[in-house]
Amino acid sequence: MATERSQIETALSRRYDAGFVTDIESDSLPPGLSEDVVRAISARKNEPDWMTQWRLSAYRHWLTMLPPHWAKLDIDPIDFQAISYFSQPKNRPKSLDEVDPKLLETYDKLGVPLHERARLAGVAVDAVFDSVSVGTTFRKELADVGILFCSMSEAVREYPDLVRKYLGSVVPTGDNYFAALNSAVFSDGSFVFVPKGVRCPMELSTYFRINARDTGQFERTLLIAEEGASVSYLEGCTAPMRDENQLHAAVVELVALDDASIKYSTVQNWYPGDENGVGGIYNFVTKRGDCRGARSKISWTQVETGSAITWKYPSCILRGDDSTGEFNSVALTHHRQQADTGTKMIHLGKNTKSKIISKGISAGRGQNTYRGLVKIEKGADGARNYTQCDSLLIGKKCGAHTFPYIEVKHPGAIVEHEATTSKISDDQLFYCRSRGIAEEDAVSMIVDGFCKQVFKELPMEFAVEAKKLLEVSLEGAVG
Amino acid sequence: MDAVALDDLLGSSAREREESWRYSKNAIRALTQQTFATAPPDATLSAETLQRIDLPFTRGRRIVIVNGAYSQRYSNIGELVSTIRLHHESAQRLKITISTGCADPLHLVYVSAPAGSASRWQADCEVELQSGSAGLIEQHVGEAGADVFGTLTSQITLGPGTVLRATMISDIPDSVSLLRKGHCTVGNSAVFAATHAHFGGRLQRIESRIDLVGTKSSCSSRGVFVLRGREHVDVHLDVRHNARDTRSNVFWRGVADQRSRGIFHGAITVAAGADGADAQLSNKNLLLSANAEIDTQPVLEIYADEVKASHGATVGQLDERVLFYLRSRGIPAAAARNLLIAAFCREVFDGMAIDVMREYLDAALVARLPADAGMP
Amino acid sequence: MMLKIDNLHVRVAGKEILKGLTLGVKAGEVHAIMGPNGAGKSTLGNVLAGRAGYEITQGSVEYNGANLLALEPEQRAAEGVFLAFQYPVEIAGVNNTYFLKAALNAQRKYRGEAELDSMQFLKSVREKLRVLHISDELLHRAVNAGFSGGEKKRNEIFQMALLEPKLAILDETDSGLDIDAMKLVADGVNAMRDPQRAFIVITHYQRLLDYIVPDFVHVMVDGRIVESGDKSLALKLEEHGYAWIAERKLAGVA
Repeated sequence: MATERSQIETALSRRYDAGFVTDIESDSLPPGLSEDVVRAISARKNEPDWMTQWRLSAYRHWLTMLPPHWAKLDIDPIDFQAISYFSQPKNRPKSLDEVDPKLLETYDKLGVPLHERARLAGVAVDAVFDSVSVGTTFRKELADVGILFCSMSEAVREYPDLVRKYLGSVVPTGDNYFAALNSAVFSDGSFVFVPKGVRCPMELSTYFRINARDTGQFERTLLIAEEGASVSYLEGCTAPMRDENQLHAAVVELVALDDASIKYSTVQNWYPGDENGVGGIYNFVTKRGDCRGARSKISWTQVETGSAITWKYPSCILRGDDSTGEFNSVALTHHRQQADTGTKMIHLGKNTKSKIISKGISAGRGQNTYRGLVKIEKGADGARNYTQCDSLLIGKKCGAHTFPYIEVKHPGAIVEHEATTSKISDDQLFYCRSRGIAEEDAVSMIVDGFCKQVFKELPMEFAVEAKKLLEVSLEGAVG
Repeated sequence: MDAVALDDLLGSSAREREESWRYSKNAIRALTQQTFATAPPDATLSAETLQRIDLPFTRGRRIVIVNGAYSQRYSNIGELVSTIRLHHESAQRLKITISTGCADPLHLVYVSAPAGSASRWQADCEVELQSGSAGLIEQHVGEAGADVFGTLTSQITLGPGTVLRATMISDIPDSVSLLRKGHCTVGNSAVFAATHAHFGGRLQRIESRIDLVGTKSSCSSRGVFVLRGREHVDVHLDVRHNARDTRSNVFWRGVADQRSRGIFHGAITVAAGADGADAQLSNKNLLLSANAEIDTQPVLEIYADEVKASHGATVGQLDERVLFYLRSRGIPAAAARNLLIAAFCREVFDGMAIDVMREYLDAALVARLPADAGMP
Repeated sequence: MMLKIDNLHVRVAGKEILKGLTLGVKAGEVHAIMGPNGAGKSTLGNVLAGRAGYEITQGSVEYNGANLLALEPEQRAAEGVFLAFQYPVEIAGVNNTYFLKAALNAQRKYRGEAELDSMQFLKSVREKLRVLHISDELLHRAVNAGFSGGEKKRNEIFQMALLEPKLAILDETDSGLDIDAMKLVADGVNAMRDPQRAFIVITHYQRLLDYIVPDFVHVMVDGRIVESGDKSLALKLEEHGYAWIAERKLAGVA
């Protein structure tokens, strides 16, 4: 037992593989938040006046709000005046070819399939470096079928009508504290528009990375699939190792019209902080999809292994009749990470269906909470929900918690929720070891099996990455 | 209501209150804004009430509390054995000490009797079981009339190796609101087995916290509510595993018809170090009307790893296939529906130790089903 | 004529399943209905028992001279129509004895007969159990809950014996049964054959008809009866398969 304990200690001090800092001069606003800062952000991005006003009204709303306190998270108060709300690499590139080679190297280290590699991998990437989108690959190929895929800043300038029509229509500016903040200061993000009847020929992808010191990252993503359109979107996140907690507050809005389908996958590997809970990203994200049209479908898949704090509930509003929402999640907390994550499925339309699969893994002193709302409104005749919520505990000092909220107002609905808690048993480990499998391999085998249901929802490359991430994140967790 | 009393009832921090009263916010707000006089402790009970509380098998062991106050007039304690001691610090504070258990259950009756205008009572009851096994029936009844708002706090302490089988039944008119805050502490190898059946009420809030503080202690909480009209029942269970090798089993069923609202919150917490805990929770609900609502929240908080814990919750309606099967055998639709609702609820009473009590609960249940069917 | 089905057309979820089915059954007769999967055999059973979700677009069903389709399922049962389900449902929490007594007495009440008291009821139950070689342990369990496939089917036959219907429809009662279980089921049916009672035996396979010998065999294909005959038709079908019928029909049309 004693030797196993020390094994844990060694492994606890494992390196965060993605934790390097790229040495690039950046152009940042000084820390602090005010109407002037909001105006300055808008001015630097050459935004039209309506956008500036939109931001300002969000900011004014934010001032009247209080941070949410209901999550099972232990967080030191955040000093919003100590954060810089804008940071962009100096010498802004005009095209991908002008991108600072060091930056490309960064993506390389991260394994982002940008540039030529993107071509090979068949993935179109919109990479967000700190706050500015640095380049979008495959734009032309996509434009040929009518798909718009660009940074949010460009979209504001080039497709103002679409942006004005949809921005804030799923997550209103005053939706919650962090969404209001994001609406005021969002720096960049991705914009995707898939027109009527078009099936996107490739996986679209964004790779986020927080680089500059004391910067918050506030991306805003808007994805619209018109009637009969379909698209699969991937999002990966990393951040360098820093002592201070960095704030990340993103908003993602999805709109699916009649018969459209959107699949949104995330692998989140922000810096989780060290074994003592120093540093790490505070990740407050509002993600929501609106199944606005009949028979539309939105499916969220997430693998959350990073961040010191995760506060995230990718949700579906099932407005259209016969629409479908899905949420598949693996969340891992190790060391002193805390995650409070889950989903909301709001059934408004007839015969709407939702499925929730949540797998929480807690190790070290990690605290992992599933929080989910299933709401069946008065008009949702024939609505169905199935929720399965499993927790795996590794070690004696971690916690696994389940907080479902089930609210049913229609007698024609059927809602089922099941949850289990288990640990990797000594018997399982011994069995594997007696067959010659090393303990760590046995653990990753068991964890992989535990997560299989979710991994199979991820695109192939991501599934491999996700599996590797879990292995790395869990190193030394067993004793 | 004064602020201190309100805090006591609702939870002192804003966060506690918001979470805990999420689904009964409006119901409790209306109550706290209403003016209540003190309910008269010497109210005369109707013959019907007296008949309802006169369970033949508890004669001689019946303690009656009218509007929160111990009533010498209606209590019937002639057969109370010497091992059961009854103290009352005041009429509203009762303490029962059972030094050695006995086979026959003790019957506690709380009556909400209306006055000329809205009235309110408060009571506190402490029960201590020192050894052996005992039975306890806590029955709440009410008479229709002006609004009555009763609040009862109770503490149950179970000594090492003791077994307490408790039956909690309430059947109250919709002019009566009841807030009950129960706290049971279960010692080493002791067993607390509670069976609940709740019917009626403008607002019934049943808070039950069970602390498994003793090694190998266990508890079960089985319950059902069957609601109609505008009745509102809010059940909050809070089971805490604080010692090694503890077990809990929570099994609740809910039925909401017409404009009623049923809320079930079942939280199980396994503290760090409470290895060997086994916690199972099942909550199933039938929602029978478009104007009714069911909210359910099965919660797990686990801080230990040698744990077996699971929960399941469902909200649905009667299975059409099963209904058809019954009808194809000749059972009329309304009767078939009643039969299935009753079967759904009866699972809760399975395994009750006291047969007469099970029959009593069953009769109360059947009386709550739509009468037109004449069955089951 | 006890049962007269005339040109019956039935839609399920917008799709036409029965497409002009005609069949007459007299008291005392046993009719076997055979046919490939998807021919509409089970739909026929469900329509006769009154299951919801079956839309009758054309045709009529008369039972003892009255319109059967106008009756609720429980009224049909009380009038003597019994469906042995292909997939009997499990009813947790409802005791089998209680269920049977409730059903029997509801039917008796409908017919204006005196309800049975517990003693009379149990006597009748014991008698039927003995005839069917069923252990009375089955009585103490919830309806079909945790029963094996064979037990469920035997429970259906037991219910039939107890409720003594005039028209019993057996929907693939043989499916999923081994030969011994099937013999027990057939014995139960044969014991109940009576000049006052008729049977419709729906089956996919001929082998059940070795034990329940039918007076008539009908072959159903695509929502219609395409061929009728005596028990030898079942044997021919067994030998040649359903394709043979389809070919003969084509030949007939040509």
